[in-house]
Amino acid sequence: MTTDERFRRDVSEQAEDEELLGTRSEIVTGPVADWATDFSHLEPEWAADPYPIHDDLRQRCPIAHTDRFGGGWLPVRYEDVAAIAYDTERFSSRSIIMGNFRPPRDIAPIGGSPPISSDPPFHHDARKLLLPAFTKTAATRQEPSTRAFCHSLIDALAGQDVVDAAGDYAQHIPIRVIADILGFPQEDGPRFREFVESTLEGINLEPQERIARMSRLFEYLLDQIHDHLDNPRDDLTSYLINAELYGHKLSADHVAGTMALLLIAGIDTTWSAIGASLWHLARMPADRGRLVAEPGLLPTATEEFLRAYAPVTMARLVKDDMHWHGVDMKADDWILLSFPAANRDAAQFQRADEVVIDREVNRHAAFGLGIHRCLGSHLARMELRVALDVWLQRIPEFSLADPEAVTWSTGQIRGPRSLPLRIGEAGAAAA
Amino acid sequence: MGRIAGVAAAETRERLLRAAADVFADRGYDGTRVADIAAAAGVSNGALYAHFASKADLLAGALRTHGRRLLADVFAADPDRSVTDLLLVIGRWLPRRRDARGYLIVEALVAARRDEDLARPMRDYVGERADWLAGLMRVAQSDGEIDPALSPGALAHLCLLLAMGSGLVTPDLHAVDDGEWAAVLSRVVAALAPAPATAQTGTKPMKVQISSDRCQGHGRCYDLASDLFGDDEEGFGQVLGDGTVPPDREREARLAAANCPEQAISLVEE
Repeated sequence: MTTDERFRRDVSEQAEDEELLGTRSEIVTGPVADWATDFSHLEPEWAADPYPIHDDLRQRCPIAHTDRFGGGWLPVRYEDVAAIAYDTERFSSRSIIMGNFRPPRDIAPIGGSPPISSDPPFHHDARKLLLPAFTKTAATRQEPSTRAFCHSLIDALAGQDVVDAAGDYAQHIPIRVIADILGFPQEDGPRFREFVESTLEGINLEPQERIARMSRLFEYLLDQIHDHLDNPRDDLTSYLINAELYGHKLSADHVAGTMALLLIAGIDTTWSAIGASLWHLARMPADRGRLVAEPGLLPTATEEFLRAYAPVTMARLVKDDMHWHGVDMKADDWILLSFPAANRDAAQFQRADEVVIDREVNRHAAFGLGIHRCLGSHLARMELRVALDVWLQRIPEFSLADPEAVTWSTGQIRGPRSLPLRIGEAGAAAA
Repeated sequence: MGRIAGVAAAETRERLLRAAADVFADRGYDGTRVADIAAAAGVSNGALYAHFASKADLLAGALRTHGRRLLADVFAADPDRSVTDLLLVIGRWLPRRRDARGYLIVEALVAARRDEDLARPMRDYVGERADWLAGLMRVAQSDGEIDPALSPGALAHLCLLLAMGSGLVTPDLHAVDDGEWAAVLSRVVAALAPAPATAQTGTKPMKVQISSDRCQGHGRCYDLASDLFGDDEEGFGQVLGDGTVPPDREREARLAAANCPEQAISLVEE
């Protein structure tokens, strides 16, 4: 049985209690008075369509402020977003989810879920451990099984006229891939979804409830770690358990934090990108027809979907009081680092507000910029491309069954969570 | 006996060709009788027909041996001279008055218009000259003097037109200033040279470079230009080989540079 002292349950539980340290701010919800002075990424207006808000702020501010979440800033120009992403001296990643809880300062430079929560110099070494597992070559190895899985999902839609492309298709693809990489049971997929929602969308829950939910995630991860200690195998969980940094095995917090990161970050994001792309194609018959006729255009179109519907917004914490690009930032102010807003900045992209599926020059920031470039970007690109390729092969004709029934996630990862599409029985049945 | 007879036959043939060149040049094709040539050569008509089947054969033969072939002569005298230099030297001579044999080609070409017996050997003759000139052009192209994109056959054709036209438009009919003509020729010959640097960016060697300080492993370069970029074991972009971009991969190189989110790729045009 388990002999690794790092993962004794009483030790781990004690570590989790440390989350009670740090600072909590008052939970403020309700309609936004003015997006320039009171923004909130957790309100339904933002979830439904944040782009007009970004565009308006880009004209007016261009760095908006809010007193919610204990104070924070929202830059919407590409230039400002890039500058913050590159400036790890002034902006810390010790928390990358903007909410009402700030972890204690001494959690830096490691943070709760390395390496996304880490700052230099630790960041580099923690990231280096993971990079070989997430190269394009590694992602390509997952492609055949991903493609087969996408086909099986479409097979399961047979006989239905209207399907939920978010819940019945997009969601399952990254869950399957990350479960395979981490070596978690495939049947635990529904639990992953719960963990994702707790982490990314439960921002405004009461602290005790939020802590209870996060504890369930870490208990699950601890179960998986113990299973891997008992039955070591060739997957990323066993790799992390055995990995060494500076001559020592990783701490339990590091192992579990990184596993949480891979589980959460790998699922919601790609699910959102697949869903948003299908949402676009359901509404734009010309783009859909062209991609069906020209499958070779799909990699180019995929980049454009990533630009226009970038699912991921990150966050930073200001390290020290400073005057920055015209505003007075205070230590521990949030920065809501909106890559979606940067990707729609007309100063950076021609026809920024249009989706141009054959856009050849596309220096978008959907996977971030600088040292925190999305670790899973190669995997995400593969999943998105394969998911769209298989869908368009099998279901070349589809449309929104009910535009009003489409719902979008709130928070920092944006994508459709309910996407009813009319596919016609012929589409799903044709194998 | 045989050897002496052979020498005698070659001498007779040579005398006949020399006489033919002079008489044809003097009287023209139509104004010349075969008997005049035999008489000028000091041989009998029978001896003449032992060597040449017809008047047309005599003219073609005379052109080959005694026609004005400045280019070939100058080339033979100085084979190391650059071809473009050769063309300029010959070109400058073209408008000048020439001796009677220099107009033999004119007589032959005019006569060939109306005499099918002569037209056939003339086609062969002109074809030979064109082939020889085209060969010279290929030498010039392989030496980098003339743009290899130009057709050697077409260049040879241009030379033939100038050379033969200069026999028709004599200085009596129309004169040209030597210096002005030389200047025009220089400009024409310069235009045949491999394209100058400004028009040549497409064929100049381009190299790609990656700044390892900036690269974060997005992989757009090896996605878009897999012939030019690869990745290392951590996914960071690597330039393959020394980064030289083949001309047919420049588009990919430019796309890779334009799509790198970190602007880590630079194109160096040497």
